[in-house]
Amino acid sequence: MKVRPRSLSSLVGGILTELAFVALLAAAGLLLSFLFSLG
Amino acid sequence: MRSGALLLLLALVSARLFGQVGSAGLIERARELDGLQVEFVGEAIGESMRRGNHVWLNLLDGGGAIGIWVKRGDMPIVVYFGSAAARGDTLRVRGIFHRSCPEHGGDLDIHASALEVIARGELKPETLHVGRMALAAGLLLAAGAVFLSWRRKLKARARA
Amino acid sequence: MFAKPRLHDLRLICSYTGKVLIGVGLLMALPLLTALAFGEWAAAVDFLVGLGAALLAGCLLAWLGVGEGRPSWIHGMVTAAISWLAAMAVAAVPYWLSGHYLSYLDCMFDVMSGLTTTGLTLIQDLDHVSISLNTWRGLLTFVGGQGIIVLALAFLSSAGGGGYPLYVGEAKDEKLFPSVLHTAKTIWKISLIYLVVGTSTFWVVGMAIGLSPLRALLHGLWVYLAAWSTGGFAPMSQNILYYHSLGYEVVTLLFFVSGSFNFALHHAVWRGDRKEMFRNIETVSFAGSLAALTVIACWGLMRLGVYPGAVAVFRKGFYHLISGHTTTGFMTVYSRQLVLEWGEVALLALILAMLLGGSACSTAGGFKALRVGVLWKAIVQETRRLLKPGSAVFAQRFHYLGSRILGEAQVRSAALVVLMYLAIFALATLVGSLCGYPLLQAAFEAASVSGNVGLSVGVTAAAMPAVLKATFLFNMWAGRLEFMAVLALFGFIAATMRRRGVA
Repeated sequence: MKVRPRSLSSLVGGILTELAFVALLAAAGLLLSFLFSLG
Repeated sequence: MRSGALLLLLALVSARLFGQVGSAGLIERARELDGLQVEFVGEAIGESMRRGNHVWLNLLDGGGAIGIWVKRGDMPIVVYFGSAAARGDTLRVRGIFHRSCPEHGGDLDIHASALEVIARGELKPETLHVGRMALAAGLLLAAGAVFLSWRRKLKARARA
Repeated sequence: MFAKPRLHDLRLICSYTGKVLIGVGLLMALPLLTALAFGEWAAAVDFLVGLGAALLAGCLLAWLGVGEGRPSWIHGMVTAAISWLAAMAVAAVPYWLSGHYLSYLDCMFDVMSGLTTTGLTLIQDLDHVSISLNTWRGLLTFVGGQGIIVLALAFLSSAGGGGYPLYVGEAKDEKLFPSVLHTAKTIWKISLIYLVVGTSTFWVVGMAIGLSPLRALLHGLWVYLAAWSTGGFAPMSQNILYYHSLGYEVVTLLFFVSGSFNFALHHAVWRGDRKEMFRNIETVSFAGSLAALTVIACWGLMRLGVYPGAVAVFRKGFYHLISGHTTTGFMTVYSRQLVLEWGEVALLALILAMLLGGSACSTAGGFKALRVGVLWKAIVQETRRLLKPGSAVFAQRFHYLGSRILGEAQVRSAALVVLMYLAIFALATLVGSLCGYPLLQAAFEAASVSGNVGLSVGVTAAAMPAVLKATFLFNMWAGRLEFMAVLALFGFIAATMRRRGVA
């Protein structure tokens, strides 16, 4: 079973997907911070 | 080195007399001092970080380090910054203290109105311990000897 | 159980522990080279002493342990437990010689904190620590996160089979590939790729915020090592507050959250299965608990008017919550501020976040999202059973690299491990209270050590009673190894002390 990802683009795409997920979490956090700072 | 330490001692003594607060005091009494003019003395550590027209500087006073936000124009010349190799210049800052600065994302900081170097730092000389070097040599030699015995033991086993 | 341990068993454990210590010694070559490169001659000598001590101890144990036999499960478990303690004792030598610690126990505490990717520290005068010592701190954290045994297996061992028990002993029981060597090498490849990406990013952002190119690179490397390992060490006493930068904080967030993901998830996503990112039970569970706890913490902070404005709530409130939940431990406030300003509701949310933890088979600690998700599904299943009495049989499913059926054994295992985490958490809280610390603070610090987090309310300090230091050390060790190896060690010792084997 090959260790390397299928291609460089798959690797880059994978890292970007992960960072995008994290960015999503951060954005949600920012949104909640915004909502709670209004009250 | 002596004069620097003496000056620092003087500074700390005068702190008690003239309303200087230490880092621990700033943190413990943060709500009380929030928005007030304070005076703080500490060693410049790391580096100064330029941010447009302003500079961030962190000053350490034994207990903790406090972030100082100062205009580039008001920034004095700091020769030494605290690191492993040097003791940094001692600076005194006067300015408004913030428990949770709205301009800086809630950071605890002091916006300096006056910042000056009160004692120059210096390079710290390195002292090499001959005893330690001998110890290192001894340990490495011993390790080498045991390593060879280990290899020999493995070979003997393989042959058997 | 099993027969009284014989010399053969001790030899195997000796042999593998020795190899791990040799690995630790060789690892010290990196900070040694760093010291030489930057002209830190005294530090270089310190690392030479440490290197010599580690190699001597390692070769001695390996020599003692020469014998035949393949390791079984028990050997793997016991070796994992013992080698972490041995590595801790030996890796502390450079710390002690640096003069930055008040006792050897403090040195060992910091080594264990690094290896377990906790991030609590007892170091004195961190702002004046040498480049090589900071590198050692970062390296211990990075290697500990990967599992020092995984390191030894991947690069030192020539033996093919038999490695799996050691691997599992270190609580990484995801078999990415049939061969454990393959799995170990893959984990390392993923981490090294991220190392290059991460350090470069921190370097660039560091220069942008005003650090010199050299210091931006050094800080970038050290902060990256701590972030990816969800460790929490930073080169300055103010931790991430030193940088006073939203940009820097966001980069740390990107990498410490990625670092908290399951290696199997990284592997799946990198091979092209992007949807897994959003369907995996762990990422879903983590996102859910993070959202819920953020709401609670923010509500608590807002009620007390702690932070002025959304950005501050994000950079102080949310940041610490996600730092705690991923068990990283980076801070942008002073420890005492958590006690003085946050209030009980927000602190409770933070404690819970720390206990829940990050993903399984990652550098994160805590219960782990997989267990949290499994237990949640089990509760859902129980509820469904109650609502559908009679002989209706159904399977509860969950998604983890594919659709799976929730099994009884899985639920039992998850529940037992969570119970054990709670037990050590309770123990540390109790000892903290007995030492005189207020309950909430004792509980907070206990959660931090048990989950290998690193957030602190100020309890962790050189002035802490030795018994509390030892308790925290035990919790960090046991929590990181997820109990199996620790229980195996205790069982092994008990069996050794019996006159005969247990039938």
